[in-house]
Amino acid sequence: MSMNNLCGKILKLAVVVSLIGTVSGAISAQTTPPAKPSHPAPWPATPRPVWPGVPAPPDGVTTERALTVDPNMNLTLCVVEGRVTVNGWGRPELRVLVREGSPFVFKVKEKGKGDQPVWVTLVGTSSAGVGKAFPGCVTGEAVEVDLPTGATLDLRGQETRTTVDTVKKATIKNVGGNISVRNVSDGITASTYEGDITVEESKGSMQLDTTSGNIIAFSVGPSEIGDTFRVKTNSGVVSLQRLEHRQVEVGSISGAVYYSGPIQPAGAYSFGTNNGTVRLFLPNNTNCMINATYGGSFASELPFKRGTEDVRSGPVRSVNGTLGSGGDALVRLTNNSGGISIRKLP
Amino acid sequence: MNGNCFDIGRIQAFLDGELSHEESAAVSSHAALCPSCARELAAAEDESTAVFAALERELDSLVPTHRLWNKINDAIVDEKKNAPIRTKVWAGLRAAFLSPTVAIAASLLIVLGISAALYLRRPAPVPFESPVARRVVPTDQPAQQAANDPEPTVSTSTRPTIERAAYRPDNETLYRRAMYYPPPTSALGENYLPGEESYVKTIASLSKTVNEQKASGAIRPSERVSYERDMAVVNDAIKKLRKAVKRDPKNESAKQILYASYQNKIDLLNSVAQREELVASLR
Repeated sequence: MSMNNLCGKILKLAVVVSLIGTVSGAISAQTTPPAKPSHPAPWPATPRPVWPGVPAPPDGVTTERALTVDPNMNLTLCVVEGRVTVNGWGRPELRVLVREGSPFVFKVKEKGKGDQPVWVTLVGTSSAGVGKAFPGCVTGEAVEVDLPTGATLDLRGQETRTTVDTVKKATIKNVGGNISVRNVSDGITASTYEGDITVEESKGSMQLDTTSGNIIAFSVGPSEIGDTFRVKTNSGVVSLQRLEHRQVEVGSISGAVYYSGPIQPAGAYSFGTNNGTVRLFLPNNTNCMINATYGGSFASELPFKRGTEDVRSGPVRSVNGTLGSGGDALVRLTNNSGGISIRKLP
Repeated sequence: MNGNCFDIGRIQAFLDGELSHEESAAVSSHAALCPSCARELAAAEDESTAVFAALERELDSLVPTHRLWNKINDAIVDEKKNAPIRTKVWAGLRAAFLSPTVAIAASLLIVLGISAALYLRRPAPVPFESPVARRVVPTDQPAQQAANDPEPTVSTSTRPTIERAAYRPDNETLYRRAMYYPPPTSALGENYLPGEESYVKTIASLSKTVNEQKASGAIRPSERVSYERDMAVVNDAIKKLRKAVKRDPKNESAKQILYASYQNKIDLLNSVAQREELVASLR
């Protein structure tokens, strides 16, 4: 009898030990990093310098994931390096492909009424290389994102060439790399420190900033009354065409400012640069008030009626006048040492 | 009624059950034979019933018995005897201050004490002497002559000498002196233009951050070249325009571009500072 009891206890103990061993083995297999190679690396690992335009080092992984989402979802992602392409499509689905880069997962931060994700974050899961320096960010040769046309995009990047097409709203902040945005229906905020910004066929409030790049915008306008258009560059050129906003503010330090298109009635425009040219190409039938303060020269091909003029000697002068019948639009032109010219729109 | 009839107190004691068994038996046997006492007993019983019905709520509550009261009092006395001195003193004080008379007296004492302290600490009174006060002191034939003359006359021979009263700066003058500040000056030792100071302070604060970043090598060489070039452009504009505004403070055009240049400088510094913030947020 006692022998049977002892055998039974030993059997139970063996079963319990084997179960514990199985569970702990499974856990450690998920959490412990892969074993290091037995042989040492031939050269010490050195961080790769980051230069604009150079493609990201491929981690050798191509990952594609898809998720059914709310049509008005928000996507937040951070891309360290690579070419980012964001396209809106008519499906309530989010699809992301990272080519030759780091793996990632979707993290649903919030769900909507229909239990569909309305706020999704793309989280890089690479624990080595770029993923270690920028936790949560993804990197790759190409990052392709397809998302609903009603989506809002929030993208931050280190060195990315970004193209965004057909979304509702876009916020893009890059340390370096060009940004190109089109068909955005409800506002753009784009900022890069070393790169150009191009915006076309878009609506809404816009804020475009670059430190040393150029800014080009054409066929843009407000989506609501009161939407503003603000552009700032330090040493780049600003070129604006067919702008429909009524509140426009353009500033540069050492770059030129070009504007081509009509002046909207009751609009308030401000074009300024410290050391560059301000040139407006306006239609013949333009009606607006002009307030120009300049350190170089002021010339107008359109009939300009001078109202008051500051003729005192000094580094800067100012002149107020009207084009056409004047109207209620005000154009303020400021230039410290370059020329201001108003030309006929061909 | 006969001689064995009992008074109302005995009847009440009988109704309350306070008599002994023998006494109660005597009362009840007497009431059975004596119509007068029976009436008295019935009347007393009716009164007791009415009174007890009216006081039923009060009588239903727990009323401590005399023995319990004795125990409570004994416990209080023991506790008082065993309490520490501090507690006894505090209890005594509390009991004293609970008395309205003592409380009013203490309040009056406190008010008087504060008033006395304030009175003693006030500055010594200074006789009023205005800085512009003058005292006229005639040199000879003072007030008596004036008293003899029916009408005041002006005597040219007795010109009064005028002495200036001793000057003692009053508090208001001292306050005015303390409120005087020299006009703010820029780093170059020149006075700020109106509205310029806030720009200069903001720029100084931002420049410190940017200089730290430059020293740490966080800015790339290409960015640094661009930054330095733009900064030189802005600084040149500020210098030139500032000179123009100093020469002609009414030159609104120069002022306008000067402040725009200051704003450009702030934006330029901000762009460098915020770049590092963005990189830090990515990390």
